[in-house]
Amino acid sequence: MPDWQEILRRDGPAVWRIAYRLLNNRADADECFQETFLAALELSRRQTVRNWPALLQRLAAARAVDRLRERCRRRRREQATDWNTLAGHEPPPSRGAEEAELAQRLRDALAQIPVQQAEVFYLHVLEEWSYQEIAEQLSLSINGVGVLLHRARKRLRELLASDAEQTNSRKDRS
Amino acid sequence: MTNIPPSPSPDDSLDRAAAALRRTSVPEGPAEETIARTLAALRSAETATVPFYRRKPMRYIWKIAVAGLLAVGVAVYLTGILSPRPPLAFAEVAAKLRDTRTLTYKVTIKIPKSNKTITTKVFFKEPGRMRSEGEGQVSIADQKQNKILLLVSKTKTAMLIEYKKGKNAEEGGNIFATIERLRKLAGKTSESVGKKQIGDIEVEGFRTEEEGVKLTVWADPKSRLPILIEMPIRAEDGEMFMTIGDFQFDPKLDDDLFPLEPPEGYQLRKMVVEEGKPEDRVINLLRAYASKFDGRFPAAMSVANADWQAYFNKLGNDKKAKGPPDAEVMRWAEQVVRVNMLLLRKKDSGYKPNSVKLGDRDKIIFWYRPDKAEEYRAVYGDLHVADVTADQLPEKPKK
Repeated sequence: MPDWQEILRRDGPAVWRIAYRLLNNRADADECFQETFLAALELSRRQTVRNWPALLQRLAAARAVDRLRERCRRRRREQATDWNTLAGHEPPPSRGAEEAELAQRLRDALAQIPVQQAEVFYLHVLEEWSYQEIAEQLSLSINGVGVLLHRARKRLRELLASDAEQTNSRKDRS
Repeated sequence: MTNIPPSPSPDDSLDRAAAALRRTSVPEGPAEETIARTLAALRSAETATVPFYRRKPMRYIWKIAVAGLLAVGVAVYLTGILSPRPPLAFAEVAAKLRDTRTLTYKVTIKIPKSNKTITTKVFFKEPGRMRSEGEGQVSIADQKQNKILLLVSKTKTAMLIEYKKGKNAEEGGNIFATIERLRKLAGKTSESVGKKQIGDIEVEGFRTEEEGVKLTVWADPKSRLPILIEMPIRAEDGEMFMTIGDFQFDPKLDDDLFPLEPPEGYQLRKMVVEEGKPEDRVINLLRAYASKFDGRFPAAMSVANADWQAYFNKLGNDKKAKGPPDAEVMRWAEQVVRVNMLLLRKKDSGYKPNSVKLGDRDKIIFWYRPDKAEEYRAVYGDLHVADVTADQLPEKPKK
């Protein structure tokens, strides 16, 4: 049986960082943290784990993206009923807030692309994993990683551009 | 993880957003409380089923009864901990291979004569889809559609082969042969071959046999999963060794891995192959080869063999093909591969071109035993076919 205490001590901080960076909320990051380890336990029953840190980081990214998607769906439902009250009332962002907003836009965009694309993008761009490492962890081919990353970038750019357009038009209206 | 320097472009909104996300300040964590809660959840998931605190309130008498049962349960549980785990059984390991819906593994073939190693990564997904990658080539097969897409990255060539079953088609070699062999291991008998160390794991070995091929399966007694499978495979010029490892059971495999459409920029050729009897395929190949080489036959039935390379070059030159491999060459190469796979797969088959020339009506050049047949189907030097007994063959069939 794996020595969970040791694994938590060694890999916990990296898992936490990924969860928090993507979810930007302590309570969500805490839940994602626990889910990640429980998912790892399940997986270890089905296959021999040779690289715990990589497995846990990959699972953390996947779980966090799942939560982002859920959050996005919930927000859409709420916006559908209350969109008019939200539009056009944003204060002009400060420099720090602009950076935070940019990061948030990317989180929102990641929630709108296919899970595997989001996972591959996050691991490569934010965690700086190589194609080879991603391919091994996600059971993909190296070509497959390249294709997913290309699609993710393309779609994220489109989403960010459309989001920026919407923001500008709201500003113009106000 | 490997450090890959990011290359943000200030003009790119995505790069700026990624940089902003990377700079997000993350509070120190996880909190001790989170760690403790997670550890408790892990331990609970490892052992208990329903946590005690979630149970409904009980009447006093039931509490006593439950306490008694709990005591028995704890005793049984402790007995379980103190007594050794049941010995690892081959059937258990083989069942994992049979029952998995998706599977990835790495195949390594060592050719002792040339000291060459060929490595292929394989992705399998039910129902009947497989992707193999290695040596600059990718092949994607769909068993339901009877199609294979071959991709050669260097020449950006794609070849889509569709197999149409002809009359009296015999079971030949197919690219699912290895996975089918692995899945058939469940139900086979085995003998223990002891233990050895693979990386950090002390594995247990089992020797078994499938269709005449002796396999050694090494499994992890803790996870009870196969770690490595070793098997020798027959080749015309000696024996090669195949190892299958790096297994992943039931991984999430995206359907995007198994497209039958080539990627953008690839030049696509299509080919329809009528499946027929192996002897018809062999006769066509031998006739085609002998017609270009003064009635001689190729030394081996393998695309890697120099004779076939010369034949393909000749075919390519005749047609003055440039760029991607000509469909005609691919068509013949595919036929050679299929005969080669049949020779590798069936121990009661053979190809002996020694001193046989086109027109020799008494010399057998190729033979195999059809499924469930007693006699062998043999092709002679003059390319006629006859059913023969084992003692008429140029060499004794291998057992």
